[in-house]
Amino acid sequence: MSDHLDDPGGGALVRAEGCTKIYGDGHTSVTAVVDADLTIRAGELFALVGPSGSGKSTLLSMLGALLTPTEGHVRIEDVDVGSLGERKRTELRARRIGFVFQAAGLVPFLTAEENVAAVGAFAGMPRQAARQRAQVLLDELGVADRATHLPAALSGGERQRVAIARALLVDPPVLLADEPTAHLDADRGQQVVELLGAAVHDGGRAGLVVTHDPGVAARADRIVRIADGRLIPTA
Amino acid sequence: MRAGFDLGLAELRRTLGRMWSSAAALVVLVTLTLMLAGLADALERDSTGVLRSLDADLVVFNEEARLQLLRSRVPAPLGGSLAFVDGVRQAGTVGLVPTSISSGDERFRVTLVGYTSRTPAEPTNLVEGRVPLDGEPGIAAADVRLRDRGIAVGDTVRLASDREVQIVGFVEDTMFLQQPTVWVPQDLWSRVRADAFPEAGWAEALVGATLVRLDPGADGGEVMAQIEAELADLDQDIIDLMDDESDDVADGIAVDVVSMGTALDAIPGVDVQRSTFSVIVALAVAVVGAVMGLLFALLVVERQPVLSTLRAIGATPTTLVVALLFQVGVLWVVATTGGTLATLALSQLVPDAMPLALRPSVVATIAAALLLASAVGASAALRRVIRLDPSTAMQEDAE
Repeated sequence: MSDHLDDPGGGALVRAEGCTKIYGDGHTSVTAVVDADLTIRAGELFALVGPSGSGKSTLLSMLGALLTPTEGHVRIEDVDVGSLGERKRTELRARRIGFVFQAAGLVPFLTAEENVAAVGAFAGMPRQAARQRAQVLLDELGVADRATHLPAALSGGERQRVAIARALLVDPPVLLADEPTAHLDADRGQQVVELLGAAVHDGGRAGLVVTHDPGVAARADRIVRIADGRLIPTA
Repeated sequence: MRAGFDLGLAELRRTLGRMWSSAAALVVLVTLTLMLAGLADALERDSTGVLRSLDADLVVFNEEARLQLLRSRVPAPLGGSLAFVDGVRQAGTVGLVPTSISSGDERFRVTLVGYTSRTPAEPTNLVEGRVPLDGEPGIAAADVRLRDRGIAVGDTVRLASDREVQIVGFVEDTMFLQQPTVWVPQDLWSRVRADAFPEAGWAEALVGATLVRLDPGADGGEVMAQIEAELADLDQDIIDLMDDESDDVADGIAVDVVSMGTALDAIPGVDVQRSTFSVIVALAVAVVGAVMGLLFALLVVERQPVLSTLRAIGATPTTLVVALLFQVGVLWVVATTGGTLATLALSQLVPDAMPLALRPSVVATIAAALLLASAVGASAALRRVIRLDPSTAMQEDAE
């Protein structure tokens, strides 16, 4: 039976329909996500909470076109991700989805500005335009003065701000964040969540944050729990 | 593509310590490889120069000599006879004898070469003065290695048989079995040969081998067969010039007609030396490829979280492969350039007795082999990059 968290209302940018993910096969198979239905609309920040090993990352990976479901469909802006080849999925990630990772996931040998602008190169954005946009975003996120620093020279909070700037460079309609505050203290975590919320609400994006932190989840428009691979609606 | 170059360049620039230490190790290995290749090349060239300096396509040995220049004996008039064979443009004779020359108090071991001038037997690599013509008494041209040892044009040197010759020119790259050569007209060579081996009783008109230049477009194989057939039924006057002990005298001259390449390979030691050095150089090239492969395999393993993240945010496998290949290319350029410069510097330091020459063609061949070995070596790392699963970015700490 599906966990009906599907909202058929207009403006749905991300939609999971009966998504199941099974790793391996036969006796060694592991079912990570079972029959998940979920819709995230434009301007909506969705929080996915659950214990370790509950299937959060697998579901996030499917919604981010990093994994294809064993059963069911994931649609990003009505495009069935499962119908796309590897090249098209990569293109979709570069142009339509912004990712924020747990430890920022910055490239250690690129400066903050180069890290942000790199996504522009992957998405086919002109180099100069990408650099200008990166500078604007770093400025908006309060780390413009760290633009020429390597990630190793940045604090955890600064890294996550740079990671958010990177996720927003190509102005993607979908923003996915995996435990973005896990390595931050409470204050910095709060700031990062506010920035993500603003990016979703002000930018009309569909946002999904995977988190352990009830404080982070509380700032989301909707919260859903996941346990043993099944989505459980939360009031 | 552009993103790949940018990534590759940025990593090189920002991890200079690691890249330079890797490059330094590769420069040492490339230097070793180039030293071996240069040594092998110089050894072979110093064994074969005497034939390579001749503008000839075929070499005619007497059969019993088994393609050995020093053992071969053919009648001197053979050159003139072969000129009438279809497909032969010109023919000339050459004879070799190991001897020594003295200049002042110094004595040098050399190979004395007698040749017929203005034929394919005349050396072509003249670098100073001129070469002797037939019938010119008492003059010689010498290999430039003798010039390097102090002999100059105009100097008179004494041959082992106390005959004196004046040096009138220098030719280069004409060494034979690691010895410099001295080129004299055929008649002088015959007299020196007779002085050196009086018991052999060789006729004055016997020389070592005949050099043949083909007509343009002539089929070498057909001409070879035709020469062998012609010589099997040769004029008795020419046959009489051969050694009485030869079994071939009664019916004609049994010869081996071979291409210049075969004649070069038949020079003692050349084939074995080439095979031995080829294996050693190939091993050295393989070691460079293995080091390059190991270096990039470790790099990719270490960078896997970053690479997964890049794949997740939209980098294509091609972008990452280009970044890696760019780095392989840069390391190859640095290693090859550094290795070449180091080898050139070392070649100035090695003793004169050690032949070491770094010709551009040798460097180009080794560089190409190293590039191929590097690409093969890095292929495991490339395969790993291509197969990266972007979803692992969700589980990995990218820093």
